[in-house]
Amino acid sequence: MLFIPGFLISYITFPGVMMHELGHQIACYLSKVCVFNVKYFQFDAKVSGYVQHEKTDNPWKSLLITYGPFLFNTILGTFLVIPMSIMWTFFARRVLLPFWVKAVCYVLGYLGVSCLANAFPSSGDAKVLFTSVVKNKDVPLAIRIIIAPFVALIYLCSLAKFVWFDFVFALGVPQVIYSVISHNPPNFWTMW
Amino acid sequence: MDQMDYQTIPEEDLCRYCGERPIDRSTGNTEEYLCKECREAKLKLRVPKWLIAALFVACMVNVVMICYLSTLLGKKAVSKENLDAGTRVLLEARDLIAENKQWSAVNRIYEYLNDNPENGDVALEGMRLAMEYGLYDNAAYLFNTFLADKGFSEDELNEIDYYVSEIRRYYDTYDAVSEVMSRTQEFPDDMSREEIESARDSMKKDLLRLEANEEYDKEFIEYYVAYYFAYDARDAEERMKTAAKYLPVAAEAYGRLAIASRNRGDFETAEEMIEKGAAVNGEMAELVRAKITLLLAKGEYKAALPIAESLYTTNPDALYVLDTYAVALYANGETEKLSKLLDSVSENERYFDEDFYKLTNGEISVRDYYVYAEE
Repeated sequence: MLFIPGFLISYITFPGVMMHELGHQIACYLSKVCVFNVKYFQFDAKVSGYVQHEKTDNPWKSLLITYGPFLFNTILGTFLVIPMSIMWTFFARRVLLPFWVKAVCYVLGYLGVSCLANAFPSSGDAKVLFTSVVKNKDVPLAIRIIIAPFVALIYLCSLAKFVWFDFVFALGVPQVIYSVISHNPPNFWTMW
Repeated sequence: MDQMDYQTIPEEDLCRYCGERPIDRSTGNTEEYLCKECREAKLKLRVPKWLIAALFVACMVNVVMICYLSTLLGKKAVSKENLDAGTRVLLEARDLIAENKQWSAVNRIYEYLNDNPENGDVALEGMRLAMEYGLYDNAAYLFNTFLADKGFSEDELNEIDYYVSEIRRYYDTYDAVSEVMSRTQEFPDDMSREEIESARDSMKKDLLRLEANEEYDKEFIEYYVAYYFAYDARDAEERMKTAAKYLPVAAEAYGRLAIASRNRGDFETAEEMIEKGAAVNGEMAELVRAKITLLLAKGEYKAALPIAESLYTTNPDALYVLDTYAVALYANGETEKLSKLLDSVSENERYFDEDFYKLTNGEISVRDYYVYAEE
């Protein structure tokens, strides 16, 4: 199993990190939760970016703020990888494209894949959700039970990142789009 | 001077963020810790202008690329329907080949590609098929017309390069042979027999010299030597056997070998040669003619006639085809059709050989017409 330090992956996919923090910020805005400080990206081995916001006792707002990046990054990332998927369809149908078209598609693809790879909430996000909702005795039990699996899912995804789950997702989305457009099964190794 | 009363805000009532203004308690929230101004400011979505600009540019470029590529996909790429149609055409081509109709198979592919020139898969498969059966002219046509500007993989490009080099070798050999053969056109009308023999000898030597050149196909040259310059029937046959190893002339060579075997009365070998030739190109006129004449020599007149009619339909001008069809009509008692055919032949000031008229006069049998010397 190929091991690359997480901070290096964050540096390489820094556009996705920035969009992740923007996702949190937008979720706070929609939930009417004050945001005090936003660091979209920094060269730090532990924390590549953060959003400082006020605490909220509303469990649904907490859930939205935690999962905000997943929704935002997935939508934006999927949108950005569409040209690359269409380009793959051209390759499969043996149509040559000018170099500049391929270059632009790959740049957009890089941005899209970066967003998709950083879509998943971090274990830090899980901790916040756990503390503010699951562990909070002021929140009704039924709601805590409903939200607990969402916390568990985040921890599971964090573990799965050791087997490159985030990149499987990030590269799988354009492949699925390619399959839908071209009616061909996805083939990662011959795509490029 | 008025005295001003100073009111000091207790620290616990100061906004926790700015530390200047009092906490806004007007909402009734007992846990509020911000002043009204700070809360309003912190609730706003403040995104740096450069980030908004970058997002906007990325999204606009994305939209433009999606529109551009979608339009291009509609124009250039092959739709699913067409891909399926292409697959069907290739299957039809393979079915035709199974019936030894190699030319028909290639023509089917041409028909499809003329309407769907963008289908590189079919074009490449067509070229492979043409090369497999020695149809180098067809392969060259497919390469020049339908294979350019297609996105092939490196392996496929290497395969195409190999085919192109084989085709080039074929044409180089053909050009070199044609140059030698064209000397016959320079023979003056008053050349004596000895002079003609000497000139032909010289041409033969030049052809054989070409065989030593690695750039030319020896088997292709042997075909011409066998056809035009062989010492005798046996020499011609041996050389034709060598030529039959070269796919582009294999079907013709097998046709000639079949005729040579038929001439000797060796019908079994003749049939074998026809089968071998059909496996390469069952529609080659020389081969089809050999098959018809073999059937006629064996006395299978009824079987020979429809094939002869079909050959005449596709090659109405070649004298050897007219001759074969005429014999088939005679052998089947189709006197009216034969008469019409002979009239049209003589109208065009063409004539069959002496043996044909001996046949139609009843002086020799059909078998004798085709078998010269029994083994």
